[in-house]
Amino acid sequence: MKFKRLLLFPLLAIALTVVTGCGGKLNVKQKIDRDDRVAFTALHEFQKLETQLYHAKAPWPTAVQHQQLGKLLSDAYMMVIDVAIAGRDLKPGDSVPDTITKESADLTKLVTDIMSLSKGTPAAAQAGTLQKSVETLTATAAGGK
Amino acid sequence: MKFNVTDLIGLISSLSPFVPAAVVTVETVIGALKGAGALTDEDVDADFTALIAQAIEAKAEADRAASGNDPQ
Repeated sequence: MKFKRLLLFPLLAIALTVVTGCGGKLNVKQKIDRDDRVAFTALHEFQKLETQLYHAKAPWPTAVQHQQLGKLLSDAYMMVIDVAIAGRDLKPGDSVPDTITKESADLTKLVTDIMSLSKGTPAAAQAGTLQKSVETLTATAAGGK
Repeated sequence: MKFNVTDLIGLISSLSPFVPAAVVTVETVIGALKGAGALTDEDVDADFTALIAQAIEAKAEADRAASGNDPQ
């Protein structure tokens, strides 16, 4: 089963890459969906790593840092949710509403705090990935006005 | 032919132990489905709904950590 999965992914990736090359562009709603999901995934990967390190009693995060990061992550997820709700409500031809622009900008600032708490730790790289994903979402929101 | 975006993303997520770039893969999938003319607004709405549910669940875990009630 594992071998079949290993084989499936490269074939899927190749097929989808070819199709993407032949295909059309995403509309604003689809881009918001894509980028919000990518931001969520990056947040979740960071959370899983941070939690794993915490429960393994690694030097980082301390109990206080774990609590601080929990608060930041909670607020970040709320922003992802708000963007998703607003994105789902978009109608064809709508420009990006202020809600999405504001939430994504606030998320960018919040991720900066996450980056600061993760600097020099095993989670730093994932925090960097998170920052890039949120910047992409912010750029998509700005481009859809 | 319509694709169920949520199921497809679920499949890709299940491959994540073998795919370090799973995040990029999600982006490729959605873009490719649109390119194939297979991604409808209903699919996008369904994905937003699934995303909201997943984020709510993840937020609950974050809230537990934030409360200080998450013992090592």
